[in-house]
Amino acid sequence: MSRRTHLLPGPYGQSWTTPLLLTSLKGGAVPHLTKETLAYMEIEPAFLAPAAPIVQQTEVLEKYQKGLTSFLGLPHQFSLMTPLDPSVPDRPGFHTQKSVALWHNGNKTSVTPEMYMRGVIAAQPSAFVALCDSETPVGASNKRKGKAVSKSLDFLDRCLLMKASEPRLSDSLIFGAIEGGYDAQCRAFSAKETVQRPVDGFLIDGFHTNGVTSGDLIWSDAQPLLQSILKALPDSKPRLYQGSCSPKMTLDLIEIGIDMFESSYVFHETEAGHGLIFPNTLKPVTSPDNGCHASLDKKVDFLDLKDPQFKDDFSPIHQSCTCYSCRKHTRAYINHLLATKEMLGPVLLMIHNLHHYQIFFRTIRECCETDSISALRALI
Amino acid sequence: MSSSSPSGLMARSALQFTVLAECSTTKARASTMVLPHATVETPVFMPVGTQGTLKGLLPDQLLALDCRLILGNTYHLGNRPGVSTLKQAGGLHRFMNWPRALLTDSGGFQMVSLLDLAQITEDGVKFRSPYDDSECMLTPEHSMEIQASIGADIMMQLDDVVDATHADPERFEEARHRTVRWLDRCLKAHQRPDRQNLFPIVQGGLDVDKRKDCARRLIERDTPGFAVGGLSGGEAKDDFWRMVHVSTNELPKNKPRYLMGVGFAVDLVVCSALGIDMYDCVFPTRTARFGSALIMKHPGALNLKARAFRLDFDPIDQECPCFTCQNHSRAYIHSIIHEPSACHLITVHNVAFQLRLMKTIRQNILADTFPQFIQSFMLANYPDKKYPMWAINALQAVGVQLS
Ligand SMILES: [Zn+2]
Ligand SMILES: [Zn+2]
Repeated sequence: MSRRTHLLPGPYGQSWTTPLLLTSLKGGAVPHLTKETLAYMEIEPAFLAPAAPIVQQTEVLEKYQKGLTSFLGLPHQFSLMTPLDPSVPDRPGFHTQKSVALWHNGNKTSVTPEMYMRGVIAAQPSAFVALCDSETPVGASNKRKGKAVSKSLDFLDRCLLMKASEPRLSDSLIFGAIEGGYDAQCRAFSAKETVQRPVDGFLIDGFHTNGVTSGDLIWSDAQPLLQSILKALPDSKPRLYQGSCSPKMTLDLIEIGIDMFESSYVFHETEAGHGLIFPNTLKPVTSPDNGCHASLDKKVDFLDLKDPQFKDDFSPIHQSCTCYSCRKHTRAYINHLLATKEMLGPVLLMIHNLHHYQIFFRTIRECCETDSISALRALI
Repeated sequence: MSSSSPSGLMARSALQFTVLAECSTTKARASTMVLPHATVETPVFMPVGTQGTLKGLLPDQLLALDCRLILGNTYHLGNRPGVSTLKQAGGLHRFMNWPRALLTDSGGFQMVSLLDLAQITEDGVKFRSPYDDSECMLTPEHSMEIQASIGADIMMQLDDVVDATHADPERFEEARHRTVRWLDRCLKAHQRPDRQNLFPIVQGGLDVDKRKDCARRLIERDTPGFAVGGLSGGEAKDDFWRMVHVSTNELPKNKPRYLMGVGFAVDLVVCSALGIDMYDCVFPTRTARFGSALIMKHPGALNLKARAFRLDFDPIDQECPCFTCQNHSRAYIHSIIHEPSACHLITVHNVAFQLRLMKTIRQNILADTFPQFIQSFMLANYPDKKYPMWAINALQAVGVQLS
């Protein structure tokens, strides 16, 4: 078991320890939450900011001048800008030779490295992934996979050049994307070439097409490739993985050497009306009541709070949870809010689910320090 | 905690209304209304939380706005979560974790306006369930039973609702008499007058004499407060304000008066001058869903969907103390307008707007500067001084001449 920890520099001299969870923004907000409701959360999040809304309003951010997190009214925490939104399914077939198609609210923008870097300069993130081409779904042609690799390397070189000549980005970290789909040769080449460039970290990209299906990754197909890529990367630099990660997949990825994750899993579970209840600490839960008597003997990651069985269940989503939603509200109330399609339903679920996932990552970090991750794995 | 008073003379009302000041020109007054779950300062606007939630806001966000009284809809709550769940939860306060005061309507108005097939008989409102198509009946007794399970601080009687623009005078006559009969049935079915207040509803269409008569007959029942109903349903504004004026002239000064379904800023200012103490309306929260943020001056609202706000880094309202205005710009809200979070931000502001307007009205009544406030408010909202005729007439009736 690897015990990888990194310190990532954030604004104002803060640092962040990996394995790290980035809270994914959608369109410029944590889904369903606001600065006011985020303040009810215990753990201050670091953010992942997809690029499409940024490049579509570069002009606004340039006029604003104080950078993205300030514009969004978010705390000045570690923020990482990335080309694609991991929570939204890709729309293939729109890339060109010189650009990558980024979508936001149904609008397509064909983004060149120059446009992308203009957005980065305006957004002033703590870190950013260089523009890349990750359109390598299962079954993509060899030509497509090769193209994704060469184009991403070319884009990375141009992003590096522009970063070097831009004093405002001297403190920003740059991540290079490893591409090549499900092709060992392409992956090896992409990793070898990217490592030779002066990047600060890596995005392990192109294994899925984002959105909720990113959670259906076939581990036996992806694992050997992931493992050989990660072996080719230097230990000293952090590796980011984007896509929906169940608790088990998170631990699997940490075991082979992924350091940074994002929260689209939480978003998808919230949209489905699920409340997360998987074990997220090493402490034994005093009362095993997970509200699902039929499934007491098998492990469930979540409760489907839309289910009428919770109509008169006045207990919190998760017995031992200290989040705002669990301290203040019941399964019965959330069930009612979901049944009536009230906006407060996903608000309460998002607060709990994000908290639950954040605590999971905190436990992972503690386990990394005490070499006890196998104890956590045994619970999942 | 003392138990019931030994003399047995404990007030059969769960409401203590004290008029603190009356405007020396208009009929406006500033009062406090002590309810089981909150002390409410009037004139007050009640945001509408139809189904046990106020459009995406956490109860703590409403507390941060110092909101003390919100409205729930009996028809919706009776369907979902239903009486059984509400009873098990210990009432709506606990079900939704709202510590302050609640008011519920009777369910009748919602039913008649939402269900095509609702039919009013002497027994109650007959309707087909939208869930299983079975035939149901909402009687005054049943409405009281649901409202008892909700446990609101103020309940409304089931009234015979007729659209004020209805043409048939006989139908109005029937509704007026039936409303009084149904009040008596509600009063009889009312179990907890020490914890919940029952308000009757003044009906009578757009006829001055019938309004007066209805009010007088309700006053005889000595309830803790009164609602003025059957208005804000599409009638001419000149009819609307006259009916409010007539109703407040009849109603006793020592009890709160609630004008149902009214919430536009100008209406709130004018009707407060006519002596109304309480209002509710879905407008401020509904309009937030469409990106519309309310402001204290012309044109009354900003449509934050408009591209004009792309580069506007000012808050919605410089002077607004709400969390949204203290932390976010118009440009930011515009940039996330398609996200639910944008709706939350605007809802917070719009509720804060309503509460701040009512607070300003109240402060001016207390300082006896309400007529001056009306002048400056109307001018800010109609800078060309093209005031609506109904507002000119209504204000004139209470001694304010718009300059
Ligand atoms: Zn929780
Ligand atoms: Zn505001």
